[in-house]
Amino acid sequence: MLFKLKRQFQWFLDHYRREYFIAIITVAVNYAIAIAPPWFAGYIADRIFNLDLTMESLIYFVIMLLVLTGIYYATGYLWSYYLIKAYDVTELMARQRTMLKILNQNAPFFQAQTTGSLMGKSTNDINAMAEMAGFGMMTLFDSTLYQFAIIAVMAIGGSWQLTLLTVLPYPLLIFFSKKIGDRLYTEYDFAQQAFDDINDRVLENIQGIRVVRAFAMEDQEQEGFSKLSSNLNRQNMKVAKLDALFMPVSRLIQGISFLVALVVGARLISTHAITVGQLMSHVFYLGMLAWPMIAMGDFINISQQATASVDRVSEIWNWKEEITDPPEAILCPSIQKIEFQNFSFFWPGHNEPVLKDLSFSISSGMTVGVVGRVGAGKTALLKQLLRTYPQEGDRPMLEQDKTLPPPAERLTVNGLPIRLFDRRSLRRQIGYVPQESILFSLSVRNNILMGARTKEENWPIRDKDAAREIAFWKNPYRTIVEEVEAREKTPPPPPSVSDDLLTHVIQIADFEKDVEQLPQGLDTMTGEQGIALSGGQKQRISIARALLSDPEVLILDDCLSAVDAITEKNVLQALTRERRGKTTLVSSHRLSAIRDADLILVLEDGRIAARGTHEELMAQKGWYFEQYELQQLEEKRAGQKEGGSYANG
Amino acid sequence: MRTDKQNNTGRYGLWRLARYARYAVPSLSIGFILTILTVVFDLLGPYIVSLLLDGEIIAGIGVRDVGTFTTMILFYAATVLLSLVTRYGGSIANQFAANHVAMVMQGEIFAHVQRLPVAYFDTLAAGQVVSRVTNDTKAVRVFFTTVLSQLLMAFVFAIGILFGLFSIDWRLFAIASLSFPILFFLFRDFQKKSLSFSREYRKGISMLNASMNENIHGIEVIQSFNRERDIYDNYSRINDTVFRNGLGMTRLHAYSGWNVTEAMNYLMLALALLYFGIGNIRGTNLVPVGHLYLFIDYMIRFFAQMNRAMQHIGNLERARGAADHIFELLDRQALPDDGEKVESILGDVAFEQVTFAYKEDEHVLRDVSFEVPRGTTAAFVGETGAGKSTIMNLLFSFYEPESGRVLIDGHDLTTLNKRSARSHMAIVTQDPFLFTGTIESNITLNRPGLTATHAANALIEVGGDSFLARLSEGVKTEVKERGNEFSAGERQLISFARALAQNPTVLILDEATSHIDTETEGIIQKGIERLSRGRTTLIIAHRLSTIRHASRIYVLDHGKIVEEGSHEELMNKGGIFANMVEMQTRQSRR
Repeated sequence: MLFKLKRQFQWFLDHYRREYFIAIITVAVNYAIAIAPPWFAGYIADRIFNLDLTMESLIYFVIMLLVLTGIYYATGYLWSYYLIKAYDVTELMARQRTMLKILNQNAPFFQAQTTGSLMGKSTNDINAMAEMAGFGMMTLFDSTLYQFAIIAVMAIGGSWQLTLLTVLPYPLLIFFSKKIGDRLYTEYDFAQQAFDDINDRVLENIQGIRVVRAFAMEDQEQEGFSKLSSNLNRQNMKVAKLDALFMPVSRLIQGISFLVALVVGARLISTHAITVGQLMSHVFYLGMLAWPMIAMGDFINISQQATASVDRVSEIWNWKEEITDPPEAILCPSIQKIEFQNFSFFWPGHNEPVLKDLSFSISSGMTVGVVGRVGAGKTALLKQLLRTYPQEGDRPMLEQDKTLPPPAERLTVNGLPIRLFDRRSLRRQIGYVPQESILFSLSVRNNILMGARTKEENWPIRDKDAAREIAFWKNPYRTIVEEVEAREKTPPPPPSVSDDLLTHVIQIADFEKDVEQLPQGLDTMTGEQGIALSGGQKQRISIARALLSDPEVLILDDCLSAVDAITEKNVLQALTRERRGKTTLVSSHRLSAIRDADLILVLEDGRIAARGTHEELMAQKGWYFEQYELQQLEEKRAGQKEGGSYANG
Repeated sequence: MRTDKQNNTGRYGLWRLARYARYAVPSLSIGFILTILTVVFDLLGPYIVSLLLDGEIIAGIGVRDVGTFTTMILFYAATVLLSLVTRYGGSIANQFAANHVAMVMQGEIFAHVQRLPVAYFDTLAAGQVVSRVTNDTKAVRVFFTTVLSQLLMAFVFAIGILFGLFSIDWRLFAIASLSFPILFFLFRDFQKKSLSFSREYRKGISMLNASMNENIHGIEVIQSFNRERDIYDNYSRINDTVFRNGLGMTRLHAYSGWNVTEAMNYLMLALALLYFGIGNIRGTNLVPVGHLYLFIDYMIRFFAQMNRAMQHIGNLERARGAADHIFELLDRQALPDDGEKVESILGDVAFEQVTFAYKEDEHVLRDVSFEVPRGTTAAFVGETGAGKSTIMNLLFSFYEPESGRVLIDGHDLTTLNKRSARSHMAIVTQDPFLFTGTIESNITLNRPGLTATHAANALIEVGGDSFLARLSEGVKTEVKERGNEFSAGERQLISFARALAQNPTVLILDEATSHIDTETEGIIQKGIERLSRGRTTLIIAHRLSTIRHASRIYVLDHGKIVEEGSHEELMNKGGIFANMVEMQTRQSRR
């Protein structure tokens, strides 16, 4: 188990070697001093007993004791600081590493790891790991180094026979501790799982609170919650029952050795093999052995929990990215031509493709409209350029269907397969407005500024940066605090976006009037902790964000569904003006919004059912024609009742 | 004012927390008694050993009297065995109490959250609420296991030891008491610092959770805009704060805590040696060796307990911080679950001069009045931000009107039991929320009497037949977190089927078809028309085509009803509505 643990913590040992070294040296000195006092006490007891204590020797002893106490305190400070600091550093580094990993993941990962479990892992499990690096290492020292030192002093200062006999029961302790610890490992894992379940449940309840309220689901939500809560309670009790065994077991073993010491000690005293003072020291030492014994239990406990937790966190750390850039990824300076050839696509975890055998091409400057029924694959199609979902040729896709032909040419950009490109350089050319508007807990301004292109985009963090980070955490406490405080005070450098540009995109998104109504204008906080914006407002902030970099390719996924007709008209008109000569991909249910597109794709069940311009599609008299007519009719019918004044429009 | 309030909860937080002990009185009392017994047995042990050293064992002779010696040894063995039992029992009893109390609290928080006004969640991250229910109650559990048992044990122990010392030799007690002022100072320092560190630490953790939740939710946007670095830096900044407070705590523990208590233990030893030694040399005070043993042993135990107490003061502070969080949430005024229970409603909905603002002085609705008689359909149109969705929020009592009344069947909504009123209403929203489970459970909401067939039928009725056909396992298809695997339109279909399956008297459609294509919408539209027969239906829509069959249309502008009437009337009037219709028609003809 120790080897497994060492392997699991190797990454940390590599960083923290120097501090651990200091800790070991000081802890050795510290323990050496800790062992001395009982010997003093025994020695002086014997002098008192034999009535041969002199004033000089007494003063000498007391002064020595005082000096040793001083050294004891100083070394105690050093080792305790460096050892427990390992907790803080592990916690910090593990959490950073987890977030680093998460930010690199795509949909399949998030299907396997729920948010609640990721939250649990980055708090609870990382704490358990950190406990191992700090307190756990201390218990390791105490239950080995310290314990042997005490036993050695007992044997040398008193009688080795007595020592041998009295420490005999102790291996039992290790045996029992191991037994308990093994069971604890399993139960602890269940308890953590129960904890995660509660996290997920509460999170879902809060996020869906309006639905819960609207459908009066409170009672059944509470019922479900209390089931999870009592399950957690049950699991915790199982852990507690096992955990509570450690203490009595160690006390029992200690009691047995005390008894042995007294009975055997009495015999040895009768033969003058030891003095009463030596027996007294011996009993003290046995008392001192109690902690290392308990520490051994603690160590087993902590390391079991840590192993379980490291396993759980490793699921994240060792997750193999489904989408990776090839070793020598091509940088994409601009997107000229996009071509789909017999392209199929599966949502991760689905067995049926959502896009089937699509072939079409988009050249620079085109506007492409994508229409179709719910679930026809519009969103799936629009997401392909972003490379946020595994495509043919990416790992999970290959696992799904081993017979797939080489995917080389399925989706090409500028004539080259898309997977050969550096993803980030592709995304730099794209502005994306998702169907579901996502805002962050930032001001409106900063939410829009997220769309700016900055130089600080290197990701993932290079090894060099990581090494610098690690070197920084090795600094002394004060330096770290100063630097961290300085870091906190300096806000992240604002992207160099002029106010004019910002105003411009806000105008296009028709968000100007809304800004005026916001309590603090552009500085109003949004997101989870900010004010509640309407769906339409969120959508328009999303649009402004995507427009900020004036991207070569703009993807609009049904992004005006929540705005009213006038606003929609304003935005569409402004967009038409703005996007002249640039590529735009739009999906919409309102066919009028994509009427002017150079190419309209009608998707049906993942296939292209029809394609062409508006006029061509109308001439085909297919689904598009029917829907367009239907919508026209509806709009007209809405307009007809007004008595003709708008009839010729 | 806010800070004042927080301080108050901080001060009373622990007392209030301690009052939760009432939920576990038997187990806590058992734990308490067993703890005291453990202390007694633990202290008797060394006393017996001191008696043995004090004359029962003599150099060169060994045991003075075998009978006495054996009795004492047996006594000693008995104390050890008894302390095992009491210790284990006490620890289980305390754990039981702690877990039980934590469970009660979790239930209470969750129940309270169910009754908090929806407005509360507008400004509070979901991650923070989660942290209160799970992480904070965990800290509270520690309060009951360690504070009530360990701290108590330390206290009882200390008293027991001092009492023991005093009864043996008052001068020994006097030596021990020299340490009290220093201990007092150390405790104060420790408590103060650990309080601030642990508060900041916990706050940081809850912020980390919130940030993580948001990042996961928005991961696709983060990646699309190449913003990983910024997001990572933000997260790092919070993590740095957590680290700094953690490290402060570490340093505090290194210079205080066990280190200082152990050092004091040795100082005490030096004093005791001086006292015994000088007494011995001068011959004025011949103290028995057993007393020396007893003094040293008891002092070791005493300081061990002091050290323990200090460690747990950290936990105490952590629990206090957690309690603050929890009570701050529990103190938020919950909506009363009172009012007249409504068995059934007829469906007359009316607003009477309703004025409402989410934020002070920013009125979203001004003096809005309308009536929707039972079984009819009313539609609300207007620009984004005109206040349409607010009407729904008020109707569902998510918020309460500032002035005016919302009436159902002529009863003021505030006098009715909200939950029972809502159980006769159903809503389909623009951003439908799906729960983890199956499509079936999302439609039936696990209501008794609703089966998979009902769910499937509901889905077909709202036009989801082709969607249903695509699903490999039909309505039993699993829905994972937030239903991310379904498209927005599909989620809306499920949400529609959900509303239908609940068979509501009042049906509210808030942009319910925004993500749905016209063809499917056409089917739904027929569904709605059929569905709204005999039901009161309120529709909010941008697509004016979807509200043609409404018997009355209200046009909202900046929180006021500016036009109302039937479709025909409004068109004839040639006002805002007619204008909007023209705009849409023209746009689609463009």
